[in-house]
Amino acid sequence: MLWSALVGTIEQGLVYGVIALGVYITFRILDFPDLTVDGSFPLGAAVVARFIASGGSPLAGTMLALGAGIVAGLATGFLNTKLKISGLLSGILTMTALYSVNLRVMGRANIPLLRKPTLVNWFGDFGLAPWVLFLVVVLLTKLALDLFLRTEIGFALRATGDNEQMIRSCGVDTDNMKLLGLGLSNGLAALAGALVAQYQGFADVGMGIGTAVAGLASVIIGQALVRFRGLGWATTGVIIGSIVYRVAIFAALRMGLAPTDLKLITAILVVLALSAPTWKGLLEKFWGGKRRATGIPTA
Amino acid sequence: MLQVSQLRKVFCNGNGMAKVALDNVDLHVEVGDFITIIGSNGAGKSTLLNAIAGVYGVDQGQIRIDGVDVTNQPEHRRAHLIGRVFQDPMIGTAASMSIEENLAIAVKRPERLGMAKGVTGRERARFRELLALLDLGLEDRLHEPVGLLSGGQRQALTLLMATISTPKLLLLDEHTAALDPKTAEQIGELTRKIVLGRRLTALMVTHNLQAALEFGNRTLMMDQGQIVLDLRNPRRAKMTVDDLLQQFMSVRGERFLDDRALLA
Ligand SMILES: Nc1ncnc2c1ncn2[C@@H]1O[C@H](COP(=O)(O)OP(=O)(O)OP(=O)(O)O)[C@@H](O)[C@H]1O
Ligand SMILES: [Mg+2]
Repeated sequence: MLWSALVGTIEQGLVYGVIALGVYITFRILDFPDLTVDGSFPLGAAVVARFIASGGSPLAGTMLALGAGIVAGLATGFLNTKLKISGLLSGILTMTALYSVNLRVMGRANIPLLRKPTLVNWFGDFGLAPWVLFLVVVLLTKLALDLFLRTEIGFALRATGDNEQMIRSCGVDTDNMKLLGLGLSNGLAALAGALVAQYQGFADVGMGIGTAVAGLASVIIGQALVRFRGLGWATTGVIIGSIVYRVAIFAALRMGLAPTDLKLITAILVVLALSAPTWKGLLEKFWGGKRRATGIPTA
Repeated sequence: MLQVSQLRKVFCNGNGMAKVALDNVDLHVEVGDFITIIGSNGAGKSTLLNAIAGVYGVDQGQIRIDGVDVTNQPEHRRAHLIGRVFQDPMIGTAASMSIEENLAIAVKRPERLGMAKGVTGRERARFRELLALLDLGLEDRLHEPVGLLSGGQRQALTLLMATISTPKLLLLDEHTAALDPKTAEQIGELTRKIVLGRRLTALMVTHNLQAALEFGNRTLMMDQGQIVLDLRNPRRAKMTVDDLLQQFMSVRGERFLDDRALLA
């Protein structure tokens, strides 16, 4: 019982790891706080559910979801780069609009996929558990991303997040780089949404709330745990972070926390992690002051 | 080479006051010219360089580089023609990326970026050679993030990045001003070596009047958005810093306003 629950938790960690990789692209590489994923994750679920429910193939539906997510990311990019709306607000606007879009796509608030063909079932027919599917997807995504970040365009994307003035003076259109990064990131979020819908057997309009923050939590945990330098390690860390995050949530639930409290816990976790430098500074000041007061040299 | 004609740039600050930063500037630069630019604070030196680089549009006039009208091209479209080094050593490089990655971006300035490998083995060998010429030991630190370098090292790297793909025009805006005197001198020498050695065409803004006369073959003095003095040889060769200050007074009818220049 515990074993199967733990396997389920790891499966979640792997599939949500795809979103975490997307969040890593926007938040970490592009330095763009993109909240669109809260809408593109359920968009992917909505698209695949509607497609499968009306008789389409799960694989085509999943690809369609990926494409829809890319378009959602491009929409945010358009608002930000062409209409000059701030990055944060652009994401919120697209996310808000997507709520209506997702309802339109589904035609109602929830589509069950019981006894429908899904990628998860296909894998099951070959005797493979869902985690195999998710592991393959997340590893392929990671490897593709690692390779991409080592290409010329990958360099330009990273430099855009690091120093826009520098990369523009090297002849790169930073608007295009932001569009690219946002498209990729939200494509991945929608892909994960499509897989999650097929895994849990339904799509629901409300399933996207907190996606960006959960993804960010995974990225932060991963960075804290995996401290090797280099791009390959960074993305490995993100996936590990995603699994650890899901295991932590699983543990919290077993300790008796209500599932409804999880978003609060996640938010607090992210706040603590992001404010760590401030806390560290305060603590050092405190200790430094104390030491000086006792006459012990600090250096 | 560079043809700036009747260039005008007006800034509007918050409370609707207009400030004429470039007042119908005309400038003709020949291939191989190494021009130093001096002038009091707010004279329009940086604005001129920014306008040439396309950081912002201008209100009037025309900029031609090598016969091509670039006046309405966005910055990234004309970037392949121009190398730049800024006053702030942080601006010219991407801190989180390694030395070789920064150089790889710079060397592809004239090309369209694709899905090819970002740094190839051949490029790496070339970077190592070029870095060795800087004599800072950077050739052994290709994989280190640029953020770990000192200001002077970063500025030397920026200079290399700005010139690695042989730009038509090199724009230097007080690129040694944020460095300590010894490092500033080193970067200055490096600049001279690169510009003369590669026969680049360069505009260099400086607050050091001595350097303005020592470097290059022509000196411009700007004031209130205009070029008020255009010194060329042989007259320039005989000029001293005192002569320059005199010139300024006669143009402006007042003392040279640049406190930094007087301290230098
Ligand atoms: N982005 C801007 N917005 C508004 N005003 C500006 C802007 N950039 C420059 N100015 C104004 O234009 C004028 C010329 O500025 P510029 O930076 O070209 O001077 P400078 O000659 O480079 O001076 P310094 O020696 O201090 O660097 C100044 O009055 C400045 O306040
Ligand atoms: Mg200036």
